[in-house]
Amino acid sequence: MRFPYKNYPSHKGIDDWAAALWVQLSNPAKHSPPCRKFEAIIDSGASLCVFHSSIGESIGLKIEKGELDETIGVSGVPTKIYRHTVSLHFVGNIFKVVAGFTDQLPLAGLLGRVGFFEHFKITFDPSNDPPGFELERIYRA
Amino acid sequence: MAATLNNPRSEVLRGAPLDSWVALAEDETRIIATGATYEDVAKQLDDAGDKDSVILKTPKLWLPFAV
Repeated sequence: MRFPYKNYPSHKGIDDWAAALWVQLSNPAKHSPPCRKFEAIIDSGASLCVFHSSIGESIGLKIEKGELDETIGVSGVPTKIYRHTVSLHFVGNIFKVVAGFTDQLPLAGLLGRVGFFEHFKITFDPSNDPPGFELERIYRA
Repeated sequence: MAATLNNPRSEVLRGAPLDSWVALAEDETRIIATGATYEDVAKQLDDAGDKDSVILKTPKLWLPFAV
């Protein structure tokens, strides 16, 4: 599966871009239907998938009842996250993942190593036209 | 490395309210709804019978991502 990069505005007038996917979450504990599609950035630097609390609340999670943990980003400031098991849906794939939820995320979601990269071989190629990336599903025996 | 994508998406996002949730039309050419939370925007889409739009969160400032 090949996907084009997504543009984002930059304060200096030149577009930024990122590998992003439209995904959905559902709450397996409540057999909830998937939430509406939202955009999440693929982030090889993220240890796990992290989503904004607002999305978790929409599928019935009591965010602060999850297992408390902390992450650290480039700012060096620890961020509290709450871990919950959710189902991640995109393009016909559904994975059960333990993801972090926080209201400190400046975007809707990050697709990190645990829960996302473990399922795909990912090739980033900005030299193509349009620039984009490819996902190849990894099937484990 | 200057990857460029020729689409109006970033202009649309540049005009979106900051630190908010926005719904973009599936073709990413216009904003369908805005709100303070994901649920606000999802409800507006539900009320409009819109099943195709995608929801994004805008940051406080449009700066390069290093998350």
